Amino acid sequence: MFRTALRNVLAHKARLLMTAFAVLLGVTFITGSLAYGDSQQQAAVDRAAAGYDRIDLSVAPDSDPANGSPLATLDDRTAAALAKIDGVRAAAGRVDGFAAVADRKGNLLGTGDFRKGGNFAPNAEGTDPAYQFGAGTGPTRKDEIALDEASATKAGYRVGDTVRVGTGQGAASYKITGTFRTDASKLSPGGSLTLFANATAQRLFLRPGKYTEIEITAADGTDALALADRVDAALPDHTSAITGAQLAQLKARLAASDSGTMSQIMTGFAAVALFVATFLISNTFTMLVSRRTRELALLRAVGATREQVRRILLTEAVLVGVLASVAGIVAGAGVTSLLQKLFATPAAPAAPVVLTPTTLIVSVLVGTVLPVIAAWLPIRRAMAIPPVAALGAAEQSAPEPANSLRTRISVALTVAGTATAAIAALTGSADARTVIGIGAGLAMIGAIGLIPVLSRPFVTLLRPLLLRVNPVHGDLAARNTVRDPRRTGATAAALAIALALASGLSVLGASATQYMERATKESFTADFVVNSPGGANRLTPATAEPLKKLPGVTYSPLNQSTQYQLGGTSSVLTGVDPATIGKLLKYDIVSGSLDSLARGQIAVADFKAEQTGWKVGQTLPLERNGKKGEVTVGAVYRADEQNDLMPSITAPDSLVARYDSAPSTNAILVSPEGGASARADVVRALGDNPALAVLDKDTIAAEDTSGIADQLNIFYALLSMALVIAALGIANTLAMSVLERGKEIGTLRAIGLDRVGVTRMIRLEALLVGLLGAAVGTVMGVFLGWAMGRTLQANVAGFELVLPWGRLALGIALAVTGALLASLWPARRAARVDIPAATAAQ
Amino acid sequence: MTAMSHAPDATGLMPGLAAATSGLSKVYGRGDARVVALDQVSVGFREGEFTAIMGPSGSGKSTLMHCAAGLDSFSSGSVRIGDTELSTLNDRQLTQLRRDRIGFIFQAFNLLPTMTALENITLPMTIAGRRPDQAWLDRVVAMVGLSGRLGHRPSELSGGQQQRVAVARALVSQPSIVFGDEPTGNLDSRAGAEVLGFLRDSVRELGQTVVMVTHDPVAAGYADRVVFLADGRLVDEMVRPTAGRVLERMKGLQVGVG
Repeated sequence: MFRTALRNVLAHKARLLMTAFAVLLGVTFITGSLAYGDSQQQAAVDRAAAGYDRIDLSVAPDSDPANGSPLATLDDRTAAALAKIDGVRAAAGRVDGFAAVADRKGNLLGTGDFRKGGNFAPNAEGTDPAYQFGAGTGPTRKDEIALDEASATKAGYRVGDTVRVGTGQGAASYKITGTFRTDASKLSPGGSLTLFANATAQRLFLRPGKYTEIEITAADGTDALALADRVDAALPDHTSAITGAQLAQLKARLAASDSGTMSQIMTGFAAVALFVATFLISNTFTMLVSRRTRELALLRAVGATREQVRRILLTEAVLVGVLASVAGIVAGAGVTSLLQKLFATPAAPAAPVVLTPTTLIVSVLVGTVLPVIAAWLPIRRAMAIPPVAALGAAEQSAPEPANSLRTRISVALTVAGTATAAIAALTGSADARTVIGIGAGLAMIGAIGLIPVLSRPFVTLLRPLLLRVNPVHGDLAARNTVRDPRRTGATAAALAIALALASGLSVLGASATQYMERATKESFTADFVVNSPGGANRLTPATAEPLKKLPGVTYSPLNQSTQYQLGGTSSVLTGVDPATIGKLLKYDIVSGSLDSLARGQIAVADFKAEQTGWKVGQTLPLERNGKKGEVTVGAVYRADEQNDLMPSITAPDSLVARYDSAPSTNAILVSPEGGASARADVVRALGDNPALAVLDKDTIAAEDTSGIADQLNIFYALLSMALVIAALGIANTLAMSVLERGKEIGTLRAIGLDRVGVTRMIRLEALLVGLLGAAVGTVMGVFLGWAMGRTLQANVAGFELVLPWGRLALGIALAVTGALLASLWPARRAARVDIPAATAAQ
Repeated sequence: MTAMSHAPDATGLMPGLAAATSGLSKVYGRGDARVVALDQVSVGFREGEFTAIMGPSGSGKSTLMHCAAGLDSFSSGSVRIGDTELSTLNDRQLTQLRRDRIGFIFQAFNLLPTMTALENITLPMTIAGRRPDQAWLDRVVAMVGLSGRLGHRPSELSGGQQQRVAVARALVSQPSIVFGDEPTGNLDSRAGAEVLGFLRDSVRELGQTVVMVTHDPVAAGYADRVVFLADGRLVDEMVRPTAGRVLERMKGLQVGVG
């Protein structure tokens, strides 16, 4: 039995190759998306845990469980005491914080949150084992720094150069004494690290003489765990020691949970992959088995039982499945490696490919089980035909009508899903998102089930146009496209899914981008916003002080002060300059007047007023850390909860200062005398500090929306892979279809269709399938984008649906191009058919 | 056995010949694997004549037809349709020639399942971008007796009816020659007799030239002339054949070959 199956597999090489290719593609897609996520996560974990083997013990104060602030401080004395403990070779105090270095053009080195500063802590030999200097030495004087090699190279800095470095304490010039390499525990990929002399770092980042952590190196032959006990005994209260290995594990676990979002995305994507692969594989197997009805009938006629024939076919499916799965896993690993190289960023460089057992099992299961399931139905159908009838049917059996039960279920799913999503979107509460997701998902499955039924009206619609362009070949192509609606549908489905997701995201992305841009640009009238690059630096009210020196300037800091109980609600007050704020931030007053700020009253955002029921003129009790008082609501203004800049409660500076000695300055709004062109004046007034970003409206809008663009790009990249797979699926289906229609194509060639004509016919078929998939996909995508956007609209004022026509058109163009490219090889094959052999075929 | 009373001379085609081959050879493979499918076959098909090509399996009769009809390439010799030499044509020209001047009838009907009977009949004209001559179309359709079934698809027609559609398709463009490859091979004897009747009628009434490959002596009995092939060589011909005489001749050939 096995041998018969094997012989069958080998007897039809082309058919075998195409089927195996379909399985291979599907498995590649799944392996690729699973392995990509795993590899990225593993890399993040490895990076997080790297470098801790250098440390034997780490001593740090415990944190207050309530707010995370340290309960004790470490100082030089602690470090000196620890160094004396038996078995300790060295104890290096560490202190770190935000430090920004700009290149010669003023652009900050490093990305996002990874601009760090630390202390150079030399041991007895004058070196710091955490840093390997490639040039120069570590900084020892207060005006010296060392810079990590990558950043120095990027900016073109050399030892001896003087650079501006900004920290939370302002900016100063330093001389570079050396450049160094270090491990990932100190420097994240793509980040920058500035080392200061020990005392300088303590002053800048903590307090003179204090440390945030002490790293202990054990003497040779000392057990870290045993040492930990001895160290613990010598430590002050609220301080504890853990081993480097434990720390590495802890960091790895944190990193693993951090990269959860990425793996969720990849899991979602793997689900899409699974969906597309299912279509591709089952489609191909269905074609394979139906094509062989006669062969099976012959087997039955010469005496094989149903059971035997079934077993032959299933063995064949498993055989092809296993082999193609293995090849698919190898290809998937290759694709992962390629994707990693393509999408490597400084912060997430390409990592080794990780194939987990889960990936392997899922891939093999999909690659083998799907063909078996896909083969099962057509086998049952084939077995139901009496052998004699099957043998007698020399002509290809008439195309099967689209299954009416399936159609009915699909219609029900589409209607129910669309209705659910639409109703949830229109009534729109924030938690409607899940309902919309489920509804849209159902609608999508339903729509895909409906594609076969849609193919006929779709082709009927396009037919007049097609006939005008190309009457002869267009007509033939249109007929071929509708002859087997189910196959056409299944082929178009993969394309539709890829495009639905891509266009849905485009719609969502475009809408969000426009909203963010508008929100940013329209919320303030100041020329510049000063804030901390990447938000890593803490500004204080004092940061804004030097602006006073600028003649004719209008400015106000936004001093955020937390932990208030206002009228019984926990609140955040933002202290502003009552005299200037009205010229800098755009207040859309609903009731009351902004002038009330000058009288010591507060202004409240409408969403906050709605939640609490506060009215203008109402006096509320105010309390912060035991300090009590009263305040009157002087105005209510319209504001968007999602807008970072617009305060929920605006208060005069003097009020905030009475309750909070150290509020955190969110941003400083500045309009210099020279207007938007006087940026240099502002930069100079603020002390030429690289750690302060002076941004105009366009820059802020671009910064706010660049995150969206980056994320969209990742999705597009992944979806382009889905598109490629879908196109290859079209190629495969067309190739099989050409093989199946050999006799017809031979006949057409015999009675007068030339090679160019055959090529054109196949190309137009691909075009029709491509257009069908693109049309259904785009419609689904726009619906998806609209429905998801509605949920945002509910709680984000001013969010509007934007249809990115360019992107949508690009998606359709790509899908159609993919389909046309996919037709190249099948069309060539069809054009070169051997006429005598093909026409004589049964 | 190369008695060729109709062989064209070296200077050109004899008047009244719709198609002719001269010294036509087709060889597959090389060396030990060399197989000669056609060996110096020279035969002419007269205008308005119904010719049957007969021979045992493997005699090269189908290959002869394929080469003569421009469906297959040949190794040496010449094939002419009218006064066109096929060996000088490229694929595009060959296709055009088949479309405009040759009609085909296949054993397995070879209709397009997506088209109605009428659409199948007019397909060669459609491909050529020409409108069929309505009067001629009506005449052909009436002759093969399909008037009531033009809207049916092949799957709704019996084998005999399908082959009648194929006959009409072959005749509709008024080709200079119609080639049939075992046109009755898939039909029962009654349907086969009908189709052969139509072919003979097309010759008698419409002046059509028909060449048919068959292994069935009864089918050959409908022809005006039978040429016999064995081992890729033309071995005999018979004018005004009857099924009985053809059967006798074939028996001789089988024995001769066997």
